[in-house]
Amino acid sequence: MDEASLKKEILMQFPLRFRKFFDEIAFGEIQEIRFRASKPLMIYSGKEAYFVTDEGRKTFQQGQAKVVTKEELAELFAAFCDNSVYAFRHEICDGFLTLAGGHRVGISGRCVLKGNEITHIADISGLNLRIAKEYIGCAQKVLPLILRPDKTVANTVFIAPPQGGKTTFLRDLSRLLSERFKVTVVDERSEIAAIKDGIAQFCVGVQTDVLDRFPKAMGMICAIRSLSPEVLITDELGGAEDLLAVKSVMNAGCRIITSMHGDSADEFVGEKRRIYELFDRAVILKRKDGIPQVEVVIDISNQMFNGGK
Amino acid sequence: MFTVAGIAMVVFASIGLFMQQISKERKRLSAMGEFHRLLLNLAKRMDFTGETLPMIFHHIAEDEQGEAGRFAGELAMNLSEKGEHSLSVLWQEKVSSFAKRLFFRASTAEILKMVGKTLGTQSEEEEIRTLKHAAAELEEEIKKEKESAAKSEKLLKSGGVLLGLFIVILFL
Repeated sequence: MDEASLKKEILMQFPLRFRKFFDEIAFGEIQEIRFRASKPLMIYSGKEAYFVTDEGRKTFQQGQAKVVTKEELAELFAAFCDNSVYAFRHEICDGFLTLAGGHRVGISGRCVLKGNEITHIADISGLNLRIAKEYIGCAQKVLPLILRPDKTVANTVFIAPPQGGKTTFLRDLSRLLSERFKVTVVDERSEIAAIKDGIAQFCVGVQTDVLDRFPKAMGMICAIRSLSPEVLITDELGGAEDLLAVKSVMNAGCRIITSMHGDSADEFVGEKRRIYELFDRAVILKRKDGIPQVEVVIDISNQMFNGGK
Repeated sequence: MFTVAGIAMVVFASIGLFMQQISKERKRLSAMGEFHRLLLNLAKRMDFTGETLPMIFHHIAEDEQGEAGRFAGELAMNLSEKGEHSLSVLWQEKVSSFAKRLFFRASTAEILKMVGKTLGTQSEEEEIRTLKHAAAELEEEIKKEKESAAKSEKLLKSGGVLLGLFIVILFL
């Protein structure tokens, strides 16, 4: 998608009077737009963070920045919820909303608890719009490195810190693998396929089924029982229940591709370490100039390092 | 002779005004009933379908032919345009214009406007509670309106009888 279309797609989600604040802002490099109550409106690109003036110009002077009022924040939140906060209760309790185009709005505010369960986030104090970008073809180079000699897929884990590009790679791999295999994506946080009104906002492939917002472990078991995938893709494993689910998937003869938070596998302990050791390959990702890239591919069973660059 | 004609004209004009008043009351009563159903319908759809308000307004506009259906249709259209105003402002503007056209009393318009102040900004339970509360208040207004309409009709009937007697006396 070109920059003008991306800008139009994002600004369409804003109430009309907010759109002018972005008149002269280039959307090509933006990663996040931060709205905080009584604080300046801020934009984060891969390289820098800056403010926006009332006239919609980029500035590094905080004094010139547009300050977001609490009322504006509430109006923006209502618009992101399609004027129907009640209809997004579960998403709000999970701390984010998914917009058309797969863009994600992180929510900060006061947590309302009932027992141990979050029932609402009230008094919204901040919204973080993370711009979703699809790098079609970014996983093309890594694909041969995660295939076995018999052309089946090796169980692979992508490792990177937050915003390191794990989901971007998983999404593109789903698209590539679905040309040859039946793929199921268990998308607990609607990040990989970004389903909106039942339609995937990203290209995840023709042979791909998406279990949207399923708890990961439950979704993996459901997929094995009902969708007979050859490859299962899911994001951010780490818990004890994930370990059991991964074992079940592998025992069912299905390949699994997933991701884990971290700079490298050396820091993994406990369940995370045990999950990691079940996999055949690990792909370490790093962002360079805002674009996620493969730093190295590790053959976990042999601990041999293959150049991924 | 002139006196008799003058009296007859005054009586006829009064009856005409009365008839107009009754027609207004009937229109108001019917529209109030439709808006009462609209509030309950909104609550029901929120509860059972979990759809967003623009979708709910759209469906109600398709299902309802009357004034409430038109009200929902206009809101659905305005919301889809993502214009300058929030739902709260849009709702209150629409209520004002419909209230004027449908001869709603100030108290009725106020009940409907109050709904718009929080609509779409609360949890499901709170939304449903607010809508049901407003519907109950509107029901009270409808009861009062029905009583007032019954009184007016009685008055009209009495006026009709008197006019009949007057005409009979004239002929005698």
